[in-house]
Amino acid sequence: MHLKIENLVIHYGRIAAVRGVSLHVDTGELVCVTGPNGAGKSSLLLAIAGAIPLTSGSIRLDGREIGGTVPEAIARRGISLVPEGRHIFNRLTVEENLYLGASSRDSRAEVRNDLERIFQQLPILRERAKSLAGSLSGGEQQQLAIARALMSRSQLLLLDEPSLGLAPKIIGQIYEIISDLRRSGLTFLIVEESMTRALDMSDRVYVMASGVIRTSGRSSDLASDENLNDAYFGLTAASPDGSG
Amino acid sequence: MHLVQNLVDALSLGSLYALCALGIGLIFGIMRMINFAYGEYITFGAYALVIPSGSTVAQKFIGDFPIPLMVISIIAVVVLLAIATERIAFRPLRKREATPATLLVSSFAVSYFLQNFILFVHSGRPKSVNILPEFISPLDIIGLHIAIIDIVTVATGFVLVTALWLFLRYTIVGIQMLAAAENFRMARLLGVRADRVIAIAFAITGLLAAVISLLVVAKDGVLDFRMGVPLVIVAFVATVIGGMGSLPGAVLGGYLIGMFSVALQALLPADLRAARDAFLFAAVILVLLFRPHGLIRSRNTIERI
Repeated sequence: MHLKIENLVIHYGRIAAVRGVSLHVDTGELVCVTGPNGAGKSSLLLAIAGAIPLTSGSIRLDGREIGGTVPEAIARRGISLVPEGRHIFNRLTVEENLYLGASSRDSRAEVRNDLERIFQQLPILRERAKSLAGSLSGGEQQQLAIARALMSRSQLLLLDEPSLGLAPKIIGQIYEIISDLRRSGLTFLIVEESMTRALDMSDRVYVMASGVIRTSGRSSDLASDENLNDAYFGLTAASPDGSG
Repeated sequence: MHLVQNLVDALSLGSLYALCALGIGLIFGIMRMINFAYGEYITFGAYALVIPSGSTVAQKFIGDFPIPLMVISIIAVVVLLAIATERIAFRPLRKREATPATLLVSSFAVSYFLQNFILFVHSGRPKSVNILPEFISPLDIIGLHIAIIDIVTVATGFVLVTALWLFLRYTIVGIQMLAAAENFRMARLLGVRADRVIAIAFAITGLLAAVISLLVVAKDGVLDFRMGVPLVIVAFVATVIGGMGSLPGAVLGGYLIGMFSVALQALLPADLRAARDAFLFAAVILVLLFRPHGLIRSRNTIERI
């Protein structure tokens, strides 16, 4: 599962939200995109998942262009987005939400097996299986949103601010779930506004501001980079190739 | 008029309006579009019963088939029509990210196109046609005269509302439809096929419209190229009263309007009965003043990514 994005440009109306971003994610990696509010991070993920149109540029998955495809087709290619705010279906049950995650799959028997496995990993979801998803707490909803994405058997998970609005203790739990999944071989591209957390959990980080990538590199290298804060707050010039 | 007879009338009209409202509510829930062409699906189904002619007494065509075959044929015709209008007039606009207002205008265009098509093929004169004569005759039950068609209408309404509920709640496609109604983009991100869900929703509205046309023609015995218009308006009002985006609300709204309409007919003094609909819609305004979001408020219209 190799994702390669080149010179991606996204407009909302006449406003450019993303202005020529290039990045890549290799199989098994956990890559974070960090940066201040309004940097274009969410737009980036939405565009990869096909939820918003791109103005120009290319998005390739294992060498094949997926840019400009409809979201349901991209889901079938093995990419799942857990959007900001989770967007679980409040008026459906937890179980129905999970089955919906498997909408791109055909074998009902396999789907039931996966549901069982997810219930083992996240027992709270089994307890609440028949409850309306809207009645779950924020942390439970986030678990449900991630579990729902897993039901697709996607190999690449795009998570937008998985810690948003959660209590610190719960955030810890969510990141534990993510690192468990990572050990099982999944690839992650995560948008995380907190630079500390981004550096903490990821292999590599892209720092984005005002629609461009300001700097990027291995998290272990960047952690000791004194200019990183300037990049985060958009004080350094953008490098044209986006490689920092 | 006896109270029980009035009650049957009220339930019958209520059931009919509830079915009308379901068709509008289902498409609105998923696409945020009011499909005014739904009225013409009903009209089209009614006219498919007869052979085109300029005559005021229609020669039956599908209307002459044995009952089960007639029902299936009319359903097939209207379902195909509904799917065709979606393909030709709505899907291409949807792909270009058209707003609900544009889709609404397109549905008006389809509506007028179909009306004028029927006007051209069958002429504009109302026609009389008698498809199920045995259903019109009243049953005499303990001194009451109750038309079989009213009982059939109430039963059909109950069966279809229940069937739709079971379909939405207990099938995969049904749950996908509910998910699409709550948050279409998220449903698509999970791999729910937008085109498929919408095509199935249109097929269901086609089925509802076909059944409505059979019930209306069986009861009234009249074809008119504008016969679907008042029904679609009532359906629209019922969905607003019930709460836009809520299917139980649409059904409730349909029953309430039908029953209130019959109640007015029975209770208003004779000289005011001609103004029945004025009272009906005044009541609609009153309800909306107190419950501007309808009786059952839906969050469907707000929450989207």
